[in-house]
Amino acid sequence: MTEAWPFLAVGLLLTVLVFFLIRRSIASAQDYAESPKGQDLSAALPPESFPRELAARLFGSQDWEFIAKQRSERLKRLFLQQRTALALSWLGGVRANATKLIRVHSVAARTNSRLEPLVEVRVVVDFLFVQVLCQILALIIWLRGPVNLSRFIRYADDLSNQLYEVTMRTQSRPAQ
Amino acid sequence: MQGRLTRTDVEAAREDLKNRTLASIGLKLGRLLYLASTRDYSTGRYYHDGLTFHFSEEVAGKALAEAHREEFIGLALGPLEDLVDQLQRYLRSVGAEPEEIFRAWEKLEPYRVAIPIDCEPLTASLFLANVKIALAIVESRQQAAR
Repeated sequence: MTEAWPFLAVGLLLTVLVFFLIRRSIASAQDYAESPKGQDLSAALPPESFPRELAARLFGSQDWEFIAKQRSERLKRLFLQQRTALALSWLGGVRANATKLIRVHSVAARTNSRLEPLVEVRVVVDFLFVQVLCQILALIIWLRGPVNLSRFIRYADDLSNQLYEVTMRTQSRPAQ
Repeated sequence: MQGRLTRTDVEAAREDLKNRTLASIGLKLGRLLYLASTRDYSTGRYYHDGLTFHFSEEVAGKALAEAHREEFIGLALGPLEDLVDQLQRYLRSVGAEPEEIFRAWEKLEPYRVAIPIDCEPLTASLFLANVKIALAIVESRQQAAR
């Protein structure tokens, strides 16, 4: 039983961390919605923050395999250092885009009296899922670099696009 | 209608640019640096006397900007191995002492001017990072060859 304590402690710590991150994201989205900037719904949001080829290049294995062939620890370190910084920027962009979407959505929702609860729940769940997934991926990238993460990144990107589509669909519904 | 006509002109100008000027530059990196050099650094506008003579200044500028962007994206998002090969061949073609070139490229970072003005910032960062890595690889190959 005592062997399980460290795992329980880590699990509890992660749960608390995720809870605070979610609370912070929602609070900042509400603040933004109340600001004049947040009221401007005409600000168009891009369907994708970055081109797909960029993610494929950053998180694929092709360049890493080439670097590994050079047999130089210095080059490997330089490559991982550069790519880790870029990968974290990419994730930051995806998170920022999701936050922008939820802010625009929350402003629109306030003026719409015919909200569909299921769609609203889906928007919030998608948003939280993108945030949590990006946090986990950031931790993985920070620990082991961005190489060979294409599949997970594509998933995060698809999720972000799904959030965009649902949000835009609710935006295009006429307010009553 | 006028917009469509302009688009056709731009396409024709791009074809002309590709066949007359860019075809004589074998390296992708060379083409990128050439296209970047046709841009006025103060205004960001592109100029090319030959193209302006056949088309208008506006059409020539747009054709150059599009060609620049296309060439840049191809290199920035392409394989690192390809960039290393391009850089190695380009530096060899310059004809100066390798140490001198490495020092200048590392300190002055002249490749920064190759980035198009409307480029997505993370793509630009990837290009800069890749050139740094490619430069380190070419330099280490040079040292090993000596």
